[in-house]
Amino acid sequence: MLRSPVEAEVEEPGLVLTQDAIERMQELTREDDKASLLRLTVEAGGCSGFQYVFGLDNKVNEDDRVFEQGGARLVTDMVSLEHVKGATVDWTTDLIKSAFEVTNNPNAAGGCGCGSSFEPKM
Amino acid sequence: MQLASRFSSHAAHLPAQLSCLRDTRGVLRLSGADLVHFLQGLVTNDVHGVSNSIAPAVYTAILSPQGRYLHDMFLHSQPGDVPTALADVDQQAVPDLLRLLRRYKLRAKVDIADVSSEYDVWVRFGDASTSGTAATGRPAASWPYDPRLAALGQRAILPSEQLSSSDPAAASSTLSMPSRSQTSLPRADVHAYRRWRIMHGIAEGDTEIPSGKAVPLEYNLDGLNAISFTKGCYVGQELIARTHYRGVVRKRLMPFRLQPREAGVGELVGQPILAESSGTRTTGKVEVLDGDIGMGVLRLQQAAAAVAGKDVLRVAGSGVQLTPWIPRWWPPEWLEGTSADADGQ
Repeated sequence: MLRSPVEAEVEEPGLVLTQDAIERMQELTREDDKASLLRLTVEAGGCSGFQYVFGLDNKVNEDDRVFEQGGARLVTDMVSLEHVKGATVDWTTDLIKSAFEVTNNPNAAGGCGCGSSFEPKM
Repeated sequence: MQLASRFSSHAAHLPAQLSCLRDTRGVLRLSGADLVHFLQGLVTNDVHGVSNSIAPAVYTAILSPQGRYLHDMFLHSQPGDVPTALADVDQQAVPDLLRLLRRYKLRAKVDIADVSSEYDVWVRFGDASTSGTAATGRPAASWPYDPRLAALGQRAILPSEQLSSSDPAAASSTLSMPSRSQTSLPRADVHAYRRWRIMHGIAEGDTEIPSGKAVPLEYNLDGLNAISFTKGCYVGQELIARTHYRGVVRKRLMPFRLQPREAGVGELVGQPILAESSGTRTTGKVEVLDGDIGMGVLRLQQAAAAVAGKDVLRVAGSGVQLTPWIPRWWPPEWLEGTSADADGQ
């Protein structure tokens, strides 16, 4: 069935968690009862202008949006969301680091070598 | 070849003087609990001291993610409960700096305001400007030193209401700002300061450093205390670090004198510079001119040869000859491999 244009506008792209990210998040919340949320914040800095900052939190603020998937909860504020909507959050494990990462960010025009910062599309 | 002859005697003697840069410089006020963290991710220099109101002024730049120069600024810490800095910036950069800083602000607790109408930038320069004693007997140290180079003297941001006061010293005593204590010194116009900078081969602001295009190291920002190579990531850092640690900077901004002296000034800016030894391959470009002196980004190989009298530089399409010189403050390693390299003689 076709959706009406009004409905399509209301539908905002959110954030998607990969299975690895969900599993890691579940591990973390089991280990630490004070941490129930993974918080993603975008701030100025990093080689490319904006950087992703991940942290554990247990408080949802007024201007936050929560994305829940498989029991894992990812939270981001509305200002940061503008720069990451439609992106995927992954947990990557490789030789130099194991970390949460933002991948496939449709708002980014380019990134730095380590993947922790990005250049926004104008 | 005598080592000393590599350097010019062009650094003319000039008595100490004052100049107000109100017509060319603007002032921004940056304040808020997140100020240091916010700036640290954006600018090329280490600004952790900005939260300390007695910290010296910091010269720094904001780059594009590709590592090109966008804007430069002098940050002066201000006293108060909330971390605050005043930024001395090129007047024509103010609109873009406001746009840029506000875009990067996101949720950071930082307020950004254009306060150009409340403050003026002053410089004190000339031969005695670094000696530490003012003509009035007040310590010249009450003005911050130019963080780039001692020879540039002192540079301060002062409230502009002092200008209307009949007694500037009295007005300044009610403010916790550096006092404009040297008012008995001769006043020079903006040109005099600009020429003093050209003599030392130092460009400043978007007026002289092309925003979005200039390679920061070609404008010598690495020799002018604008860049920290140890502070960590900031916007544009990848290119700067790579060039600094692995690359060689082959072109740099150098001062020169025009011959004939009366050469038309306006039409030469932006013109390519050719070296007699290199045929039609350009050696550089005229970037800044003021009377018979100017600055251009020049290939060091040819420029050093011209300094040593082994090559001749001309502005393309004109008979005008350029005689460059090597500023005294240049570290010798910038000239490694050129004919001015003392080790290579």
